[in-house]
Amino acid sequence: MTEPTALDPLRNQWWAVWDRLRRNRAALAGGLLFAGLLIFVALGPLLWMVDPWQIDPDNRNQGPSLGHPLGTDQLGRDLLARLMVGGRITLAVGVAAMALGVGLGVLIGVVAGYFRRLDGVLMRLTDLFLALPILPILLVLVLLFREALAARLGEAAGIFLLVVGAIALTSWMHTARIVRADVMAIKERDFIVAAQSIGTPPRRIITRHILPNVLSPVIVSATLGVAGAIMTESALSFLGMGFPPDVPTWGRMVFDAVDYMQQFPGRVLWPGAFISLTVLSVNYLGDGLRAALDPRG
Amino acid sequence: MSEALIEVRDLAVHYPLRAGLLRRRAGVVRAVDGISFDIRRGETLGVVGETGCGKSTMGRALLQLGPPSTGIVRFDGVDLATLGAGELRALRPRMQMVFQDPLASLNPRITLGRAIAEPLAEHMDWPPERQRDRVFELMAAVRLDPGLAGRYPHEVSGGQRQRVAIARALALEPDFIVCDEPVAALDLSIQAQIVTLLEALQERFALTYLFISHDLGMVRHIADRVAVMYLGRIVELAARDALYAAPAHPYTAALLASAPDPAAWRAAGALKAPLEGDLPSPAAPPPGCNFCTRCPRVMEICHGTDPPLREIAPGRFAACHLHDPEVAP
Repeated sequence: MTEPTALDPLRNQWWAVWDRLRRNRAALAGGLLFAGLLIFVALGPLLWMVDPWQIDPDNRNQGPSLGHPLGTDQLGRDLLARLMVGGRITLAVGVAAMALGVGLGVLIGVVAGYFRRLDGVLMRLTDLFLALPILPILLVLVLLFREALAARLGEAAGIFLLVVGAIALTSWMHTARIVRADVMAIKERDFIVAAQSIGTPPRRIITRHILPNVLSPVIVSATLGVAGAIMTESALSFLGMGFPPDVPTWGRMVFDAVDYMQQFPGRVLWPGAFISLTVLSVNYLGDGLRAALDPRG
Repeated sequence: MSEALIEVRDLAVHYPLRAGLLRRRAGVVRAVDGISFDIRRGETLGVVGETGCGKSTMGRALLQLGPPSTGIVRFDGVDLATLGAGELRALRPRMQMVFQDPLASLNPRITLGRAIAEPLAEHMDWPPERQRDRVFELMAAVRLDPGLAGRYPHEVSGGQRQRVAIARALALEPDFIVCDEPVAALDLSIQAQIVTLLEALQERFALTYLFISHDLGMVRHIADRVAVMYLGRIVELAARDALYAAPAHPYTAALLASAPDPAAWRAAGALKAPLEGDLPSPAAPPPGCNFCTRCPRVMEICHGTDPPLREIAPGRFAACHLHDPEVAP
C-alpha cells in the first residue's frame, strides 16, 4: 500500500484502525494480557534465574515456597522456571503453526475461489486432508522427517520446524474452505468487475479487493488456530513425538502432571491456566482486530 | 477515422446450462443473441428493455467483461477479441463503465479517494502528489467535496457514491463509457442531478455513452438514438424522436404504452393494453419471432420465421414481419 495516505486529508487509515481497537475494551484487555504473557516468557527467565533443567531429588514434589514460588515437579525442577521456558516454545509453536496453517489455507482458498479451473482439484485435495485421521498422519510425518531435519538443522530447530510444519499441514483445511466460499461470493460483486474494467490484473484484484474483504473469517480462523496448535503440540509431546521429554512446553507439563493431579493439583492448574489465558487473550484480541479493521464497525 | 467509435457485429453471449451429477451441458442461455449496431462518436445510444433482456450483459460484453462472447466488437477500428491481455489492458483506459448500484461497485474497505485513484495507480506512473491533485480535480469535476476523499463508501449518500463511481470512470480520460442503469438505484431527485452531470461531462470531455436503462423517460431525455432489446436481441433501433413518436415494433409500442406517461400513451396510438405475461426463458426462446408469445399483432408467420433486423427507413431498424414488404398487408 503505497499511495493511500497522501489521499486522506482527514486521517491515516491505520490510525483509524488503532482508534477503533483502542475503544474496544475486550480487545484491549486481550491485547494487554497477551503482551503480558509474552513479557513473562521472554523476560521472565532473565529475572528468575533458576535453571529449569536442574534436577534436585531432595526437593521433589515441593509445594510453594520462597525458593520455588510455584513448587517443584516430580524430579525437583522449579515449576516457575519451567513455565517461563516452556511458554516460549508453546507460544512460538502456537503462533508459527497458526500463521503457516492460516497462510496455507488462505492461499489455497483464494486460488480455488478465484480461479474456477483449479477449484475442483484444490477442493478435492482439501476434502482428502479433512478425511485423513490427523493424529496418525502427524505421527508418520514426525517419524519420517525427524532424523533428517534434526541432522540438517540441529536438534532443536529441526524439531521445532517439524512440529510447526506438521501442525500447519494438518490444520489449514477449514480456513481454505471458508476463504474459498467468501472469495466466490465477493468475486461476483460489482467492484471486482469495476476493477477488471480498469485493467487491474488478477493478482492485484486479489490483494487489493478480495483479501481485505475476507479478513474477518481469516482472523477468526487464526485465533482459533492458535488454540488448536497449542493443543496439538501438547498431544504430540505427550505421545513422545514432539519435543524431547526434557524440553518443557505447557502442554507437556500438563500431561506430565496429570498422574499427580490428586496430590498436587497446582502442577496441572498452572500450565493449564497459561494455555487458557493465551487462547482467551488471542480470541479477544482477534475479535477486536476483526471489528477494528472493518470500516463499517 | 470512421464515424462509428464502436462497431458491434453479431455479438452473442451464451451461458452453458449444466445439470445433473456429471454437470453435462443441458442447454444454453442466450443472454445476448447475435446483435449488431454502431455507436457514433459523441452520441448517446440508449438501450432499453425489461429486466433480464440481456442489456447489462451486452454492455459488459462490449468491454470484454464477464463471460466470453462471440462476434465482433470493434473499438475505434480495433477488434477487441483479437487483442492479447496486455494490449486490451492498454486500451482499457479509453473505455470505462458506471454501474447501477454504487454501493456494490465500490470496495467497502477502500476510501473514496483511493477508489478514484485506483485507475491512476494502475495506468499512470505518477508520484503521490500528482495523483492526489488529479483525484481532487476529478472530485471537483463531479462536484464532490474533496473533504470526502478519506471517507468510506458507506459513510456517504447514494448520489455521492455514484459521483465517486463516475469520477473513477473519468480518471483516465476515456472516450467511451457504458452507463449500466446508473441512476436506477438512486432517489428521483438525485437521478436528475446525476443525469445532468453525465450530460455536462459528455459535453466537456467529448464522451460517447452507451446508456442502459429500463426507464423510457430517462432514455428519452439523454439518448440521441435508442435501441430496444427483447430477449437478447435488438428489436428496434432508431433516432430518439422518431422512435418515441411512432414506434415501429409492437414491443416498443407496448413498452411506451406501459410507461406511466400520458404523452407516451398518446404516441402509442391504438394500443392501450400493456404487455401481458412474462419474458420467455432465454434458455428456451419460442420458435419464430421471440416476441410472438406476447405480441398483440401476432400473425401466422411470426410463429415460424424469425424476422431479421431490417432497415425500414433511413437509419431506422426494426425486426418485425409487419415491416416486411412481402408479408405485411
